[in-house]
Amino acid sequence: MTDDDPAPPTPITDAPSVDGPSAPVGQPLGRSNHLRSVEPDRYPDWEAIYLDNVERLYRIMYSRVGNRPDAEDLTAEVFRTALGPLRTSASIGEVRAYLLATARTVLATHWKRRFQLEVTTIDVERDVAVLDEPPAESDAPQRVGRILAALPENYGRILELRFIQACSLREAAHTMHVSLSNAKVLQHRALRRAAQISEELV
Amino acid sequence: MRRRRFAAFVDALLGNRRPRPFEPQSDDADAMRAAIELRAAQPGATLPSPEFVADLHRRLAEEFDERRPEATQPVALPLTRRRALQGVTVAAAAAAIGVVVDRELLSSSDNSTTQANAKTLEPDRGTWQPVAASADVSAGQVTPFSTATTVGFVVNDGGNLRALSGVCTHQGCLLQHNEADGRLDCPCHRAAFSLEGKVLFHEFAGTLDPLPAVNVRDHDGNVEVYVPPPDV
Repeated sequence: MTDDDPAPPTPITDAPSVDGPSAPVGQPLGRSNHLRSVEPDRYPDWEAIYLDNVERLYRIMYSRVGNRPDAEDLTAEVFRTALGPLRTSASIGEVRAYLLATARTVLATHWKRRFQLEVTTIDVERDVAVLDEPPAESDAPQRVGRILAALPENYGRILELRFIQACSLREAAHTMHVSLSNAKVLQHRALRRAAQISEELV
Repeated sequence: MRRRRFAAFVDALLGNRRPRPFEPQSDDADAMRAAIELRAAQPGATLPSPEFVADLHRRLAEEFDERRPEATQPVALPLTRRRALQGVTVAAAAAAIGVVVDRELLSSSDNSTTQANAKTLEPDRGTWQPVAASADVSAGQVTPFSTATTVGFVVNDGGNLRALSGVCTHQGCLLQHNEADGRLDCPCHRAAFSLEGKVLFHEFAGTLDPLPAVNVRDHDGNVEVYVPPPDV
């Protein structure tokens, strides 16, 4: 572990709080007084922790690695690592903060081990909001649309062919009337420029 | 060499495969980050497969608990919108309606019991329960209802009453009536159903079941639905 590695999260014992308020765990349904949010702020057991957070955590992991096998392995590693020290007496907010802190460490280790540098990271403070209340509808497609629209035409074209139309690099090269090796260069430059635009959109 | 390995990284992402390790430069890392963002934005890309969720559940159960997940009951999850029905209506609604609530999380890898097509709620022990005054459900109106065991919508289609489940067949989120577009939208993912219960669109790789119908009648000035009683 280097100085840049995120510190492993402190296991949750009976500490009264980690940081921030407890997660919003219920919303009035507003349809009838038959259904009311009871807003429990504790998980009854590890299974409840798992079932309530597996999809949320997987989504975050996938958005950091971009492929299913890694997202599955890292999600599994987070739960295997975190569920042992977790006590179900911890609040839901504490549990999620701990899961996310574990995920940050697991992701950092993954990148360092396989690519020697951290390509993507998890920001616990920022991402815990996503974990607490995933947006009803992802704005990722719209965001990608803005990125592609902001690129120079040939950059946007090759990324659209590759990522939207699922063309192979060879097909994209053929469509754009460039050589395969030029298409590789174009793709790399387009993605670098897309990364800059993405940062500016934040 | 670097360009080739980077191109292979992008190819792996687009094929949803694990990329081979290499030593990227810092500008490669920026490009990799953009490639990941573009890949993850594809519809449904970030949804875990039901098989993975069920398999990890089993593996964790072996590690942390001697109970097998197949033997466990749905746990009392916090009542978010997504889970809104689990503590209150799932047991009755799922059993009676045949709707697969939260199937990604609760089903086993055997999907044979989770692929119900359009059905009508026919509870073993149902009762007719009033949900609205007939006068309040005028022609063309879509009225949400809830009982102790079910939620849904009553549709007055030109004087003909129709009722259907108000629970998304993907993961059990409560549907919202989109009046402008005349459909029922799932607030959790991009999915929508027609007022007949048919799937209009969704973002998932597999199929999405249509909404189960609910038996409905106009009786003594009330709109009544045939659903499980509160004490099931």
